[in-house]
Amino acid sequence: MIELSDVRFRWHRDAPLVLDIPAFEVRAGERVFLEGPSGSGKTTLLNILGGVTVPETGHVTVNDVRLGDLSGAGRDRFRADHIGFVFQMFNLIPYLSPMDNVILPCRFSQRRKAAAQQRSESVKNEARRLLRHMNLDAHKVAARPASAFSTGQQQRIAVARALIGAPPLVIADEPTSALDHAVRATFMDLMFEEVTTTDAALLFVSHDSRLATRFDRQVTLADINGATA
Amino acid sequence: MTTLAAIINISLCSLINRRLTVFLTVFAIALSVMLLLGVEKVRQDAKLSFANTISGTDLIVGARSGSIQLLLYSVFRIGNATNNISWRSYQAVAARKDVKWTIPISLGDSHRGFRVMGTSETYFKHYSYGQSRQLKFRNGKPFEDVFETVLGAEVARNLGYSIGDKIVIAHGLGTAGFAKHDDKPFTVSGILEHTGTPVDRTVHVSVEGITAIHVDWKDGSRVPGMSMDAEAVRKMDLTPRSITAFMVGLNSRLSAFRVLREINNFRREPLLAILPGVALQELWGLMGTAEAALGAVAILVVAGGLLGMLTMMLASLNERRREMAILRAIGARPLHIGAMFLIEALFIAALGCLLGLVLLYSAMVILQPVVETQLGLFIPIDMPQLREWLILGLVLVSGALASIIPALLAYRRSLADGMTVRI
Ligand SMILES: Nc1ncnc2c1ncn2[C@@H]1O[C@H](COP(=O)(O)OP(=O)(O)O)[C@@H](O)[C@H]1O
Ligand SMILES: [Mg+2]
Repeated sequence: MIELSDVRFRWHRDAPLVLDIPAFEVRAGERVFLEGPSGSGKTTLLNILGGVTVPETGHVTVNDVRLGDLSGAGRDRFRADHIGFVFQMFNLIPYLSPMDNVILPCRFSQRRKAAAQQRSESVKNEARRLLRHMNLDAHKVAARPASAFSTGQQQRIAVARALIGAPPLVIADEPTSALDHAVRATFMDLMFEEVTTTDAALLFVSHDSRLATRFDRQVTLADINGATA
Repeated sequence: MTTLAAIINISLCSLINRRLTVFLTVFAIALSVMLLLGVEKVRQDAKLSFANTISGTDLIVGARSGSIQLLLYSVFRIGNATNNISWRSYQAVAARKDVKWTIPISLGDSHRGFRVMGTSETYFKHYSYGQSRQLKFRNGKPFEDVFETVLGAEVARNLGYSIGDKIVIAHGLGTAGFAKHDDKPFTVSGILEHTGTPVDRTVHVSVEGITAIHVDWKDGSRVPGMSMDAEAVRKMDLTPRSITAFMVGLNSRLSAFRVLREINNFRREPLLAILPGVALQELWGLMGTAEAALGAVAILVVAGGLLGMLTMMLASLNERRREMAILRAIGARPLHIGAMFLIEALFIAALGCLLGLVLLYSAMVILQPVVETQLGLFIPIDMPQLREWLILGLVLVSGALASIIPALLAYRRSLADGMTVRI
């Protein structure tokens, strides 16, 4: 699913290398826990995988497509079609309802729209199904703006959005850091359950190694990254 | 395609989310658009209204002064004559072979704020306005007796007069003139149809009537001890000694310049003859500067409205960085993000134009009667013309151009921010 070779990255020409990764791989459907201290370059790596940031050297292959072969617009389209993202916070457009937030990727990607329709007949039904699976009340979810929901609820809405249209890769960047302990466990349960049903590969980033237990593999960024900025 | 639809949808939701600031911005643009279109409309309609006031009159003759001044007081009842011309000179011109008809005009008195004009029955026969439209009587007929009067439509409506009513004419033009010719009231013999010209606001009497009310007056005040009643006056020779001006219709248009020249070289008395159309052109020339200034102010106000929009968008840029990052993560291109701002600007400007039109037409409906009674200008309410649509189009284009700045900033920022905003 993901293949990196000789990827180097720095923010500008005179800056030290942030990333220097000779090789890194995530297989299809594999669930990988990536840990590393704050500032070590985890988010930077995810931006490279999403095609938003372009590495200085090396090749990034996602879903058998070399991102370097794509144009900027092509990478944006590729990201829309193949990757679902969940961030630490501020995942949702605050004035849209959770429902509309979840539907959003299907508006940018025909592929995901088609997949959602195939699964539940309509995009809306699929969004409703995902939200229900994420333990969110279907009635409340359409009426109020996303900003009216608690942080824990918002993170679960964000997972539903990352999963709609079944992208083959889900990337989560410290999605639990803003949640307190009680909510954190439920969140992890629901997310895992849902990712498992779609067979998506999951790259989960956190600096909290206690969460690593349920993953297929645990990787420390320092182990694959030669740069120690 | 769906991406564009999604971007438009998000833009609209975002605007609704910021509805107060957006509404204020739209309102500011609407006010400025209303002003711009209003100025344009008044400019055109005032010209049209002026141009429609007189038609078919070949020459206007008065005492020597400015041609615009003569046009204004003789036709539009604006301002005053500085001098009169003698009845004999008038008769001399009227007797010319090439002159078909003449209409004497004698001004200086008023009735409750409306100007009184002394004239003759030729006025009702030959005066025309608009596209050669004749004066028509709604009720009654032209004055026949010395103490009869014909009222313009607005005078009758405003003061509630009907045929047979008696009115008293005041000396001078003040609304509350004390010096009243109250010993010699006039009977309303006719009321004219509405014309949309200053005729509507005029009280017409015969030139003999004007003489009659002034027989016991001298130099603007009543001669002490001398008072004559109406019956005694009626028996006198009431041929006026002077009038203010007169209109001339020629047998042939072609002779206009020659007659004009000859009247201007009239030996017995300095006279001024003008061609109404030429004097109107001079008037437009005079107003050109004021018009341009007014237009410039209106354009600046529109620029102000659009600047307000620009400010609003730039201010929102920062608080919307997260929103932009989320859209990027979902697959929006930086170009889409920039387009969002363009769409918003177009939407705000379009709403502003629409609301501006609504405000303009509301204002016109409310103000039309007021403007007509107070200024004698008839502003027709009709659909926006090509020129108005062009102006609106220009406002839209300017709005889009203004939004290039925030759109470009948003584009560059979202390119740099990517999917995560570092704050
Ligand atoms: N946009 C940026 N411009 C310059 N430096 C950045 C930028 N984003 C991150 N960095 C730097 O790159 C390094 C890695 O950051 P990041 O990938 O966010 O780390 P992590 O996600 O592991 O906390 C940090 O030193 C950070 O200061
Ligand atoms: Mg990070």
